[in-house]
Amino acid sequence: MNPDEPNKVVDQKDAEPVAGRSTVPIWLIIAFGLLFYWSQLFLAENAGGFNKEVYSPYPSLEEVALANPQDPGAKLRAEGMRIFSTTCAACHQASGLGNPGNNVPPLAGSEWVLAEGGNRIARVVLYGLTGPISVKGQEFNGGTMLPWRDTYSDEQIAAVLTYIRSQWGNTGGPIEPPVVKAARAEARPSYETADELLKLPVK
Amino acid sequence: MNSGPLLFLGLFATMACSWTGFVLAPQLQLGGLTQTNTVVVGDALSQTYPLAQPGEAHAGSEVYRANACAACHTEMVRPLDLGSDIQRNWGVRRSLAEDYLLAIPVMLGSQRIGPDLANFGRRTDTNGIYLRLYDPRLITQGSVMPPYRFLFETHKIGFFHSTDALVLPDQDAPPPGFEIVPTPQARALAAYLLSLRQDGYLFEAPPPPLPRTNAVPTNAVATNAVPAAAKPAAK
Repeated sequence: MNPDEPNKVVDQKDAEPVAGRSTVPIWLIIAFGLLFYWSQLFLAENAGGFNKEVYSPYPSLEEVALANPQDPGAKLRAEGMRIFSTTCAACHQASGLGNPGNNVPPLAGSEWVLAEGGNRIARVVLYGLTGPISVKGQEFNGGTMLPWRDTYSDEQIAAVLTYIRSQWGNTGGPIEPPVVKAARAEARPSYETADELLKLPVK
Repeated sequence: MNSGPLLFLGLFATMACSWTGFVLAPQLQLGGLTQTNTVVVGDALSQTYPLAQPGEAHAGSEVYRANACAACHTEMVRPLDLGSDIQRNWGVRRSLAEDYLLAIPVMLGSQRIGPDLANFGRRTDTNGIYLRLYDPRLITQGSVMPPYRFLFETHKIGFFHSTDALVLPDQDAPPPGFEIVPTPQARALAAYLLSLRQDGYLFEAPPPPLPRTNAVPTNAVATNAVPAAAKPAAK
């Protein structure tokens, strides 16, 4: 072995392969740069902002929303149906006809439900109702509706109001959550009564 | 091998990037998916989507898995701009992540040697499924699907015919006095195939818009009268 070249291996076949170093060609850097630039353009155009609700062929969330049926009450009604069937239908029945034998007034065709604006009916759901009330010319006395202000949010109560105003032949428009929020702000400590409700403005 | 650590770091970075993109990011985005409500179309009520697999359908999905149906059949409808699945009537809309929420395991498949089955429950019935399993060429001429006759048993007819005995043409019919009935596996598989439907319109894939027109309807009065052009020519 030559002492001047201590690392030289005599038999090349047994040599451990050694990786050398060389500079990256400039054209490769430019090519990758261009590829990266193009991929970013492609993503900006086609990725839909990486939103989980945007699928091909829609390019953005706005386009998806535009492609959906435009009905302002639809979402509220869908949510309202769920709440009504679990909570309200026990007394007011799925048919909305109520249970007059047990002093539960009907919702179908009720002038309280269909009143423009929903100011009064929102309070009924929020604070409950007790005492005599006249619905569709019929007197109901002795029943008590429970308050739901602690159970459901403004949006949920607006949803259920929108739902009952759109079912069983009712044709009232949607009730928006701000109406319920305004009624909730009063923070009434006790049940509503029909007499006090009638003193309130309809809207 | 003088650059082992560098090589390791490079491999690690490559794997980490793809794991982040294919596993972590989708999990963060879609891992919290829950059942949702379908888009309200017209006067129809919104419904919960997707529904749980009914009855024996989950047991049937195990039969589907055990017989490697997913080797030849996919369960995914491609969007309109990426294929002709919707034109082929394989679905009314593209498949979404939501569609597979309650399917455990998800059997997407990768090859379409047979047709896509994402909406098979929409276009067939139990008897059609039994005949296809017993002998695919009874339904589809030239089908390359193997017959799954071991999912059926030949029974001697007792007092009554079985209600789900196969009705077969003469050359496939069992000997007189015998009938061919599906085994419990075949029944479960049929229940699974019938449960395959991705037809709830969701926010991400809304229903196609109704054609818009300003024209005044010309046939305002509904009538059952046959139009003159459709009547057979008088002799």
